[in-house]
Order: sequence, then C-alpha cells, then structure tokens
Amino acid sequence: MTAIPRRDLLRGAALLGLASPLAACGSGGEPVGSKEAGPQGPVIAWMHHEEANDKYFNAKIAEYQRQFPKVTIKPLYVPIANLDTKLSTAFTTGSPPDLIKVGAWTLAERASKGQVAPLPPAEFGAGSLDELKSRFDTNAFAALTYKDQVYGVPIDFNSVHLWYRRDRFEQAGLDPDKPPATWEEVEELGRKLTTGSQVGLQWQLADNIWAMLNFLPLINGLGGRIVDETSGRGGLNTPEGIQALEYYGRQGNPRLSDPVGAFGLFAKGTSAMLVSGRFTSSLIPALNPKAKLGETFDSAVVPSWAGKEKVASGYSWGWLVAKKAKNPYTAWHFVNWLSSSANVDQQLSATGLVTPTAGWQKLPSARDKASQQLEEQLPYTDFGPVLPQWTETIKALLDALESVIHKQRPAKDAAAAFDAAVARILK
Amino acid sequence: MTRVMTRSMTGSEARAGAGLAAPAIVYFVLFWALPALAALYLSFTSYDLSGTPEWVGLENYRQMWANDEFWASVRVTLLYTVFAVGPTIVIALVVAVPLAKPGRLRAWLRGLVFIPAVMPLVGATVLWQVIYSTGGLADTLAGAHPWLTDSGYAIWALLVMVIWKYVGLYVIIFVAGLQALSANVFEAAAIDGARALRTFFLVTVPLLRRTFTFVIVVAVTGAMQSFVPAYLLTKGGPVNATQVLPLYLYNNAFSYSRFGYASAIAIVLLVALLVFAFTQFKLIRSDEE
Repeated sequence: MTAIPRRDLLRGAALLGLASPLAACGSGGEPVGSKEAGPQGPVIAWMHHEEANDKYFNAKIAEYQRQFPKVTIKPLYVPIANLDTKLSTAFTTGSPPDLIKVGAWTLAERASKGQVAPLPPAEFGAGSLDELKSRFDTNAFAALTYKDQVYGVPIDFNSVHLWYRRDRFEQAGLDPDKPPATWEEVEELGRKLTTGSQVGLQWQLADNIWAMLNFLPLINGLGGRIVDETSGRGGLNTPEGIQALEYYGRQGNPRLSDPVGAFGLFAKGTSAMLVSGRFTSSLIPALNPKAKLGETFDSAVVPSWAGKEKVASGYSWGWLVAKKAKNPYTAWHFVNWLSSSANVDQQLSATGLVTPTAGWQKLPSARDKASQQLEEQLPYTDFGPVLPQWTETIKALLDALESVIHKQRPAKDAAAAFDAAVARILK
Repeated sequence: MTRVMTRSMTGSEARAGAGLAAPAIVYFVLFWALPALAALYLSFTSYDLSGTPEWVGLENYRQMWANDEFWASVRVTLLYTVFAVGPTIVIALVVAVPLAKPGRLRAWLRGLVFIPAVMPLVGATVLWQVIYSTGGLADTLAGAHPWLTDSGYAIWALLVMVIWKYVGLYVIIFVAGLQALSANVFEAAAIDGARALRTFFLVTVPLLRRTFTFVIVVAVTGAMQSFVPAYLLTKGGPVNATQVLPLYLYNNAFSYSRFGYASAIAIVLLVALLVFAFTQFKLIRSDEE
C-alpha cells in the first residue's frame, strides 16, 4: 500500500472544508422583488398535492411568469398528510419556503412561534388592512386571524352544507325537494332512512378537522363552545355540550367502513345525509360516476336547532408567507395576482376552490346552488377554536366523539374526559 | 503465534487502525450517538421546535407515568408485538419446511410467498382498506363485521395485514436456515426410524436455534417500533384502539409539537428494546456455553 504524504492529506482536508461554504455561496445572490424593483427572482411555494389543483396552479404559474418574466415560481406539491411535518422541519432548520398554502387551523401554532409574517396591506396596494379586507367577502379573514393580527389570504374557503341523497329520500317516500332544516328533522328523517345496512346521517369519523366541522354546529347551535379560548377551559361538560354529544352519538352507524370514509358511504348511497363542504359536488361523482348532482344528490344549508340561532362550521386554507422568506414581496405579489377576479373565477371552475373576494358569488362559475348556499351561510359561519394547540385539542374532541358514538362511554363521562384533557393541554 | 498476537502495535499500525475505523466511528457518532444523546437531553425539556428547549427535569416522565393514553398505548404495543411476532414465526416456519426442499416448483412458490414483503406498504394498506370496507372481501369470506371501525376488531384486522405482509420475509430466512442444515443429520434420524413430526421437533427446530434467535430479535424489535401499518390503516383508531407506542410518539412530536415529551417516550422505548435485546443475547450466550 502506498502511503499518502501528510501534506496531501492536509490539502485534501482543506479543500473539503472549503467546499461547503463555497457550495452555500453558490445558492445566494439571487435577485429579490421590492416595491421599487417590482416582482423578481425565485419564489419557493409549497402546497398540498391534489391533481386538479396542481394542474391549475402549474398553468397559472406559467401565465404569471409570462407576465412577469423576471420571476420564477418554484412549486412543490407535498402529499397532504406530510405537509405540516415537512413545514415544521423546514421552519426549524431555518430554511422555510417563501410561500405556503396551509389549513388555517394550523395558523395559530405557526403564528405563535413567529414563523409566518403578518399580511402587509401595502404589498397589495391597499392603504390599510380594512381597505384590503373590503376587497374580500364578510368573514373571509376570520380563520386567518390570530390575536387580532391577520396573517394570510384565504383560498379554499368553505362553510359546511348538508348533502343529501335525493334517490334515498324518494325510496323512503320523502320529498327530495324538502331537505331537513333542523337537527331534530335530521334525526327524524334519519330513522325513516335507516334500513338494514343503510343509514340516515353519517358523520365523517376518525379525522380531526371533520370531527370539529361536524360537531361545531351542534354545540354552538345550542349556545355552547368546544373550548372557551379566553379561560382555556373545555366546554363539553356543560348541558349544551352533553346534549350535543348525545345527539352526535345517536346518528349513523360508526361500524360502517369505506376507504374514503363517510364520503364513500354517501357516494354509494349507504348513507343518505352527509355534512360536508362545497367540494362534495365534484367529489361524489368522482367516487361514483352514476351519482349526479341535482338528480342523485343535492345540497342544503346546514341545519340548526329548532328555535335557535343558525350556526355553520367552516374552514379555510390560506396563502401565508414565511417570516424568513427570502423573497416576500414577490410572494405576496403572486398571491395578489392569483386573487384577481378573472383568476378567482377560473380557479373555482377548474378546482372548485373558493377565494372569497368581494362579489365572488356573482362570478360565472359560482352560479351553482352550493356556492349560493355558502354565501348565505358565511355571516354565521364559525371556524372553531383558534389555538396553537389546535391539533391536540381537536384530537381530544375526536376521542370524546368516538368514545360516545362507539358506546364506550356515556356522553357525560366523555365530556368530562375532554374537559380534563383540554385543561392539561392548555395548561 | 501467541507472541505475534500479544506484541504491542507500532505507532503506524495504530494510526492505520484508527484511520480504518474512523468512517465507522464518525458514522456511529453522527447518526447514532449524537441523536440518542440529543433525544435524552430533549426528554428533560419542554420544546416545541421554536426557541430554545426549556429544562423541565423529570416532568415529561412524570406526565407519561400519569397519562392513561400512554399506558393504553403500551398495552396495544405489547398485544401487537406478541400477536404479530408469534403467529408470523409459526406460519413462516410451517411454510418454510416444505419450501426448503429443492425443486423448480418450490423455488417458484418461494418467490410467490415473498411478494407481499416486497409490495410497498402504502399500496398494501389501500388494498386491505378495500378488503375490510363494508361489503368487501373480508365481509364476504367471514361475514359482515366492523373490521376497522370497532375497537374489538381493529387491532386484529391490523395484525392480519401485518402478518400477511411480513410472513414471506421470515419464510425466506427460515428456508435459508433449513437449507444450511446438514442432510446427514436427517438421514441419521430417518435410519433411526424417526417420523416426520418427531424429526421436525427434535432435530429441525433445535438445529434452527440460531435462525430462531435472529428472527425473534428482528421481529420483536421491528414490531415494537412498528408505526407505518397502524398509521396508514387505522390512524391509531377507533378510539385509540390501534395506537401503538411509536404512533403515539409520532403524534406527540409531529402533530402536537411536544418534542420533549415525545423524546421521553423514545427513551423509554429505547430502554425497553435494549433490555429485550441484551436478555436475548445473554440467553444465547449461556445456551452456547
């Protein structure tokens, strides 16, 4: 074996040591946008993967880059289940993307950690936040506000509806043009629609966000709250909470199973009612091509309790810009461009995603019933608790709901367990 | 020879030895020792991936001790480990014995048995979700049951999928072990008039001791760290009935950003696995001696 001279070894080590900083230098020096220079440079954008959305955004990115040739938008479509974990890792290592599209329910956690930048009205050409808000619909920023600070621009803005199978209603001798308007009617019709393995209303189980979206109209409609954010106390161990839990536990059959959960059961007609968002109009025909909107299934506004105020639950996704973004001006510029009336219309038509700009409901692609119902419900839509510990809190809610619907615990015990869990989580 | 073995190394030999061992040492320190020490440190802190970890002493361990969900998860993990490893090994051995003999058909069957093991777990899970869905193949074969939606069934449904997925891997290991056994021993047993079952229990099984040890250690450590099947098939539900410890750890770390608490769970899991592995190796050594 030939010995390597010490000098050569040292030289090699020195070269290796220099390689890392040089490699790091190679990625710097890119131009970034500013009010003076305009949009320019690269913008790294992460969002969750969904085929129709990916196709739409790729087309829009190409169009934007033609209009603003100095900009390069670099999208990364991440599987939805991995997006939050990937983002958390990127934020921790100090190298987040410039622009992210995330569920608004995760905003409080990101904002409390100082990971995302407040929405800058000036970058949208607005004199104030109120002026910027006036360009959007009522309640549009509610889900993207944490401690009175707005952090993002809404996209995929939804309020849940009651979806029902017209064919199942007809088979049961019910009028398909008269969907239930109250939760009491839902239960009554549910009994008539339950035969053999078929059920009336089926909740979307085993999923945090759907647990909240399904349960919130029940408890808030009775005057209760899942969590009192001011005191940090759980609100299930109250007369309203227990009544809502008991009602939840009486509907549907938790033993029914489908790879896509309650959506699949509704698509097959196994369940006759479903509480879900506007996207259901395109999802159900995708799962079952025989199901036609307006013929086989339809939508109605979310029911309320008889004699009580209307409450709908909603969710939103949002475009956020990282506090450590390298090119924030251009990122917001792109978001502003996406929110133009023409793009909002094309987006709704191509993907079913609503960007709730003022007057969006008058756009050609928003003439469907679900869009009009969404508009009707928006003033009384509640987006649920805004908490940095949202995921853990809502997982505790899911545990409470599942233990009741699976008859493992009486509602009162499940409510007490939830409130105890909330006390521990929000301590 | 003894003189050569016991002489002290020269300086150049020592340097060469250190140089050759350096890559392994660097790898071990960077990817094993440092992360393990970091996890140990984090287990005494409160850390949510932002700011600096805050020292909380034994608080995470106290919380874990008092948390019903943790203990439920430990019970699920033990049940999962026992019923994933036991049946998998028995089935694998029963299948391996006939497949270990030579022949083209047997070679083809060995390949067939191995297919689930090489299937991507995500694809396999989707397949089993369809099988277990209401009105699916499982309902057709075994009657309608809430396979994935009832706490009493879900863990067993998960175990069936896991056994199906991994049994092929252990079949191949047992086949290799069986094929390495000397034919003379079996011929001697046959001459002595031993029947097939007697030969199997009194000759084959004892001779496969080393293979068994390897399979048990790999299978038990694998099962105790198993996360993906439960995450994909049931998400730990219903009502946490399939929430194995690694999934509980993952939820705390990546869903709730409680990295200190999750690190404490990781340390407990690591200690449990080390105790198991040391016991196992101690038993082997005493057996060999």
